[in-house]
Amino acid sequence: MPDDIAEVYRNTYPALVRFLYRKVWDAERAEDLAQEAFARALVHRPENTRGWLFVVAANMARDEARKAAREKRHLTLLKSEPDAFHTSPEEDIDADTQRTRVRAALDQLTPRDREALLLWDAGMSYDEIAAQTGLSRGAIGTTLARARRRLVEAYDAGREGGQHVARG
Amino acid sequence: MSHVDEGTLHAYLDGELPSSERTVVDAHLAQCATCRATLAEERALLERASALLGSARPIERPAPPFEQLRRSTRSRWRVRTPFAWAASIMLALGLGYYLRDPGNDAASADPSFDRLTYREPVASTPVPTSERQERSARTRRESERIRRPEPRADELGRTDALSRTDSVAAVAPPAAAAGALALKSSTELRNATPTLPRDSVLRLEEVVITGESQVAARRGRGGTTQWQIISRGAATSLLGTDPVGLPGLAARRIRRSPAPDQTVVVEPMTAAAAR
Repeated sequence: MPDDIAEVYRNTYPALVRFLYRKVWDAERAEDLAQEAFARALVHRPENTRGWLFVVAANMARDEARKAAREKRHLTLLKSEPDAFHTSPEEDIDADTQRTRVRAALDQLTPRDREALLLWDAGMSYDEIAAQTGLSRGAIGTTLARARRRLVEAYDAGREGGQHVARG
Repeated sequence: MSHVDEGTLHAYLDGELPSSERTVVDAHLAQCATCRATLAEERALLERASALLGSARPIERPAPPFEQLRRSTRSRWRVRTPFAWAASIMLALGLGYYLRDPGNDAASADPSFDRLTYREPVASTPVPTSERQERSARTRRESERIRRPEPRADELGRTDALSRTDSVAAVAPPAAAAGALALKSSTELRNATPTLPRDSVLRLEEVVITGESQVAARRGRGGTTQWQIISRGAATSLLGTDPVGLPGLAARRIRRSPAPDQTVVVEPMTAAAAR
């Protein structure tokens, strides 16, 4: 039912953009992909729209990552472009550095741990994460505990390592 | 009970522990200082992790209106519209040639006919070749209605069709293009009906009849860009003969070219229009 999708759109769009952003690391691209996912939902009319959206979004982000790997040079150039939404140049540098560090830290996680963490951060319940990742519900707490610990440790190690942040 | 493991503590902190388990954990925490200390550590870790993730979030911009999203699902069809038109025009030229000489055998209907031997501009009939094309045409009309009061895109397409016809007219001998209606007669066209491929007729979008002279064609089409709707009588006096639509399809309306020539477009009733 389209009305349901409209409702899900209002509630879930920001979370889906956030989820995608942590995968593609490009705000506009994340928005495009999120809108594309909703557009597909309009065509497919899935039973569980929210869960379906995140599965589709994860798949699109994965395809995107493969494409990005093929166009690595191009991506590097894009990344160095200043973020148009910021005003202060100093904030730009701080925010960019911070993002780069978090990104590098997330890269240190296993794909499954990372997925669980990003889904939780996107507002999904343990049940939803279990359905999405194929993990048992009882394993979600342990997975998230491990993911959080690794994220923090990798981030701290990266910050101490200074220039070597992006080595992962 | 033994100490609470970290996974359970995270589920506890996340508020995802079933109430029965939660009661047990609460009871244990009340009497176990070690686990309370661990809980505090895990809470700090959890908050730190979500703060880190929070620092790597995109600048949140409001979601585009849902309606815009729905429209964007159509916009992909819009991209293909020019190709659809190009295909339609090629088919139209083929069909026009076919109609021109009903006595010809089936081979003459081949759209890949030699254009150099094509002397007489007859009827250009853009024929959507597939469901997708028909849909794209409809989509275009719908979105046009939303955005602009004037059916501009339709006109663009028509202009496109017209310019193709012009280019054919340019190679036609003066006698054929000297302002007289290029179609031989409506009777002859009607006679041609049985030889028409049935599908093509059913999917017909419109018929372009050009009777312009070479001079008029070169003068270009400055000034107004409106394809005015004119009456059948006006079209008749303009062309010097009755405008001819496709046999079997009633004309929905007749439009006149904005250019100073005698080009008239007969839009037939289509299934989409009838709805």
